[in-house]
Amino acid sequence: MIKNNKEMKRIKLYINGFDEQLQGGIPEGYVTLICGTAGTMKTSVAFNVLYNEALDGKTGLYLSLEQSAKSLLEHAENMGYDLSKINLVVMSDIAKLKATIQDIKSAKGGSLVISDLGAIRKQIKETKIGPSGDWLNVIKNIIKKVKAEAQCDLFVLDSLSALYVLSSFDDPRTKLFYIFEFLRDVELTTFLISEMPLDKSKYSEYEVEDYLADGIIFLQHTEKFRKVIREISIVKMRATDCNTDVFSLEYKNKKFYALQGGKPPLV
Amino acid sequence: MGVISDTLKKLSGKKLGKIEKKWVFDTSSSISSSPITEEITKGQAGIAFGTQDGKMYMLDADAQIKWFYSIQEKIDEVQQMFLDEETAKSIYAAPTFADINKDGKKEVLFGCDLGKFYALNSSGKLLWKFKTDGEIRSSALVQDNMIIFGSNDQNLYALNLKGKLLWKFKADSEIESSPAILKAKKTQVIFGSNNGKIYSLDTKGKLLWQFKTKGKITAKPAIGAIYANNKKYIVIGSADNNIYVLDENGKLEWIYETEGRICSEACLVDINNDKKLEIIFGSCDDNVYCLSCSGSKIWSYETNFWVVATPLVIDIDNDGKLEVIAGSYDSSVYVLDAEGTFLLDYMPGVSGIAQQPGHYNELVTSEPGKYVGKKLWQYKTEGMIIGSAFITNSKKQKEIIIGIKEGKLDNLTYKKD
Repeated sequence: MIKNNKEMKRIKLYINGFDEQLQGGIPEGYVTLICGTAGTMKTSVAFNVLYNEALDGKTGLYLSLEQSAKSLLEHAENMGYDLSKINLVVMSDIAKLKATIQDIKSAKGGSLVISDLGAIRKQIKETKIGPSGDWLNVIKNIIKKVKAEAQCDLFVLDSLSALYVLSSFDDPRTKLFYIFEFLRDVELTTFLISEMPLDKSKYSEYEVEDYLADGIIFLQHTEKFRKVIREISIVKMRATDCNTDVFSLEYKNKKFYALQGGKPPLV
Repeated sequence: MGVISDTLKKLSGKKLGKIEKKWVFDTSSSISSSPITEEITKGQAGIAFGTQDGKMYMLDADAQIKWFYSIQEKIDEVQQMFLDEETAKSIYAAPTFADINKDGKKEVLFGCDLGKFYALNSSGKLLWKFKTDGEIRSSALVQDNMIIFGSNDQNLYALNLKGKLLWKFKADSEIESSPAILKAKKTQVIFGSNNGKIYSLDTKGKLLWQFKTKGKITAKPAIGAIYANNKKYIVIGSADNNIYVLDENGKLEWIYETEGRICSEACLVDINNDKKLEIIFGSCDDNVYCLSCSGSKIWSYETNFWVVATPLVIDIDNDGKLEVIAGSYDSSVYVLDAEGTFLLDYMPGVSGIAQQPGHYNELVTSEPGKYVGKKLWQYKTEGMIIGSAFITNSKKQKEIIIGIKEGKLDNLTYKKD
């Protein structure tokens, strides 16, 4: 069914001064790339959405392929997120998926589920994978089960670059097409973190991701007067009348701010 | 005069009749393997095919289920997470019929994506199974009391008729191509691999020669005496868009380039009664090709999408002439004249001769046109065509069995107007 702008629900990025540039947020169910070089706060921006949505009663799945759940949560604590306010579930053993889902279901309100695939990878021996076995299927099966049994609304994959190492992409165009179709079919609002090369020459590894995604959020470092500031902009967002200007991105007092016009950072 | 009268003959002959559906069989899952037809017991045809949800069906000629076998393998919870539950048990390779227990009835042999190879008796009961460490997408060859097939664990396996390993050959990459037998001075087992190599082994699994192409080989080699002499040749397509013809020593005879991947076996048939074999195959450039034994194009016919399934070459309307039945991913079955049709560049002696280039002698001595593919009939099905086979009914009519990815099996027949 085609939805008009009024009917379309939107997911906020919880960045003050930025959501209003996107008609209130990202359309629900869209697949969005969050692109940037190292240190541009891709993980923090994505985590921020899931944290705030969990406070609002929604459940989000953060699937980290490399960074451990422990490291991610330490980082969040240090940024000032009060993790005691949300139902936080860490999934580090796929054999205990049922129990994890039960934890999500028994919680009142929303949950933030962190799936630590790095820890899972350490447990699994190659022989367990077997014929037709693929880590991409593990990701899909976690998503399907959490979505079906725990009413998950949001999904973050951190990162696409790590996925390309984990699964074979002999024919990336075809494989990525089916991955994006899968994500749309499960009707999750999805953020895919894409690690850009240092020269910022492309948003994604195979570049086809740019066309398959519904939206692209671009994060970058810019040097101004020997000070490095972070910047955020929307490269594309389907079905959205958005401002594509570059905004300064600040994190202050436990909140993200976007400042128009490339102003110097807040002091 | 001879040229003109021949040309007029070639222009005539529009066929009457039509292709219509006799029955359709609807599965609850996507069909993943090409259907295979065989006389299971005397006078009783069987149609076997595999599905994406791991079922092997056996139908009779009237689409009644004789039996089906559902793959049941114990998979622990963790292993299950690594599988795509919709496709994990897929049977991609066409089954093979052979009487392996000498009971006068043909058994069914096939592999699946879980890496298991099964032998079922003629009632669909499991006789034995064999485990490999990769998906099995290669159909089995039964030769000299051996069952030979490839696996994505990079091995070509040879089993005895009771399912015990006789030998295995480790290739450089996954083997999805089905093996074929070449009987020359030495009997050779020929197959391709996913890194583009064509291998020849003796019947004890020893490498005789190998030939490298630039693309994945999923097609089964076709073997035949294409030049109508005693020498057998190997004809095989590759994902590098080429069809290769090799002699029995693996020496390249010729190569023909299309504009798309060639995924399935070529048909070697004498379409013009010159005793030499023509080569008919489909390509992912959307065309069906007919080449002469020396590698020149006789005709091609363009469909609207990839031609992945191996064409059938049969006389469907019993007029004594062969037709090519080609299924396309554009959902249509095309019935083509096997000889093609002659298309005039101009009409000699009627008009325009003065405007033709060249000497007058060229006009009367060379053929004033060329052969092109000629469509006789087209039948639109409900999805992508992944394979076809045929059965001959009691009235000696041929019925085409079409496997459609979306889960339908159609039976198409020719009917006079």
